Amino acid sequence: MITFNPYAPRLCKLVEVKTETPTIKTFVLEMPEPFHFRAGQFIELTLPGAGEAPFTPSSSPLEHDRLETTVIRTGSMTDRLHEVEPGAWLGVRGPFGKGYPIEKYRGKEILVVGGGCGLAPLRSLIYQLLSESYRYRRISIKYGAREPDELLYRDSYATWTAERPNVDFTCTVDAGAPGWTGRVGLVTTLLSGLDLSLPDTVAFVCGPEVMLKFVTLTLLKEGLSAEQIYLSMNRRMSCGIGQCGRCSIGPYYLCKDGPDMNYAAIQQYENVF
Amino acid sequence: MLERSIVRTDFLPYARLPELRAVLEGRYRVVWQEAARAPGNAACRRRAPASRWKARALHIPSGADFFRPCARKWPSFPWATPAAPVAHQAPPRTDKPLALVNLRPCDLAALRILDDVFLSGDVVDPFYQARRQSTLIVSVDCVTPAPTCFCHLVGGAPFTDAGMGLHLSPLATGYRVHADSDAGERMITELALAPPELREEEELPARRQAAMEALAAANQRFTLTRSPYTTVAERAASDRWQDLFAGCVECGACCRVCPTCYCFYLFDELTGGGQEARCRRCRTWDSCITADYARMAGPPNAKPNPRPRLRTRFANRFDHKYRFHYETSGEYACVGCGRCAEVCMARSDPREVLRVLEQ
Repeated sequence: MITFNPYAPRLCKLVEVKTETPTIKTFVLEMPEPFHFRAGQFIELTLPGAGEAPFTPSSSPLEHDRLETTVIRTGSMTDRLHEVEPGAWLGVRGPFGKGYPIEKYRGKEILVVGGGCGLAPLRSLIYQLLSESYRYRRISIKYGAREPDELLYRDSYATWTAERPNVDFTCTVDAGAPGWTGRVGLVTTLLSGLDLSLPDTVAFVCGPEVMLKFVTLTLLKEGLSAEQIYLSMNRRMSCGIGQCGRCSIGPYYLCKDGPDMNYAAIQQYENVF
Repeated sequence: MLERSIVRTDFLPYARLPELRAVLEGRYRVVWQEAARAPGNAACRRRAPASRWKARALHIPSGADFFRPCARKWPSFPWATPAAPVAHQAPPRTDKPLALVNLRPCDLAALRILDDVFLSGDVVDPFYQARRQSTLIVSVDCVTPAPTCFCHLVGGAPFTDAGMGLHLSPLATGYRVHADSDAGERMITELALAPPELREEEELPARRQAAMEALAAANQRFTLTRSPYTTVAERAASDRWQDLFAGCVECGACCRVCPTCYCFYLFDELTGGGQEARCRRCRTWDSCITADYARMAGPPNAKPNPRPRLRTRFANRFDHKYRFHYETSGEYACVGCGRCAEVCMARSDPREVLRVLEQ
């Protein structure tokens, strides 16, 4: 008798919905049993009747009884998800994927580059890095959003850098707004003239595909090699266990080998971005 | 593991074939794959039941169809009152297990690829596993190739010594029978077969050589000078693809009949409402040729799917089968059965594609 169905979701109660920006909400789930994941791993979230889609937890990997995931409203499933109220039951499968290989880079300088809703998966990486920030020489976080209203987790930026001299955070918006005194420009403008020791740097990048493309090109131009760039290719996965074939890039399946891929591994294949 | 090395070899005279059939039908629900590929094996020629085939009028189904049925619906579970336990499988069937008879060496090779996908990862597909383990597979060496056969071009052969249950090799007066599983061995024991005589065994190499030569002769037009891997890897960005996919209408038939294609799509059906709402997870087979394959939500300027152009989807199918799978496993994800060439409305033949790319 089959007792485990890898395609069927576990039911989890939605306990809180936080409105982050006009188009982005964070959904807080209470896990029925302790949930362990690595930063960068993803889950498949089911809303009954609306479908299943891959999302990356945005909460700390050190927290096991609650799971947060931050979702931008951008398609039929996320449209319906944004209407859901606390108390509803959602389905979760996972975690899937490898997660960020941060252990490999202890003692190095970490560059975290986020674009728009791409800061969500990076937040769980940031939490992980901050919990052991003494292991890294530098943690530099660069973030860009379309406009000031679209900046995610605005209340957290100060706490990330407080009392951690090796951590810095810079953000920019594509278009300013009345009252905005910060930087205006694409996220790539934060990447020229980096004050990092480039041979010792590794970059973790997450954002829309067009942003991934131009951040990669900029980082390569700045002197990073392809091996030093990890890209989050977070949109394509379905089964999560390397069977359905939907998330292939060359010989890799993002759900098994990613979703964060070293650019050196995938750059030779068509349709990476 | 599902397979093991040969445990027993015996000889079945053609005159006793009805006995094998009777023994099989006594123990199993037997599905006889149509034997059009092997004229001469008259005793095995019988039409398969009409149900369950994906494209029944067009081709001889591969055994793969039985392990990845077109659609699977798992039992629904209550959504609004999730305290109830979630059932994962309908009550087990109590009727006889399945026996697939007359599979060919290419079908076995395809099943090995599916086994690799569904059984070798960190998470196995328990439904595929259960069905594979309970099914007896009776395979037969090929004698005469079909016009679309090309297993020898992709590292295969029209014969094998590695069956998956019972494997029959035609000789002059009967079959040499290999039992590769306990279930197969039981069959042989029940029939009380004798081991093959030396002279019977001695003719096997010559027969196999003849089958290989017949296959090579049928493929004279498609003699390749380089390996399919080298050809496809070198021509990844070639303009030649432009002419090759021109006739493709994205019907997806090639993926439907391919015994090694395994891509699928998961979706939910919701029934009832309110406290009575139930959700059912479903799986259906998918084709990487169609434009809505792996369609993703995203902002207006994002790509709707990873390969928006037909050229890249068409090339990706070949890349996967002849390049990427070869890089990861050392084997092609094409077994040369030629079913895709049989069903293609544009008469696209993988041998022709490889030949044109090679030039």
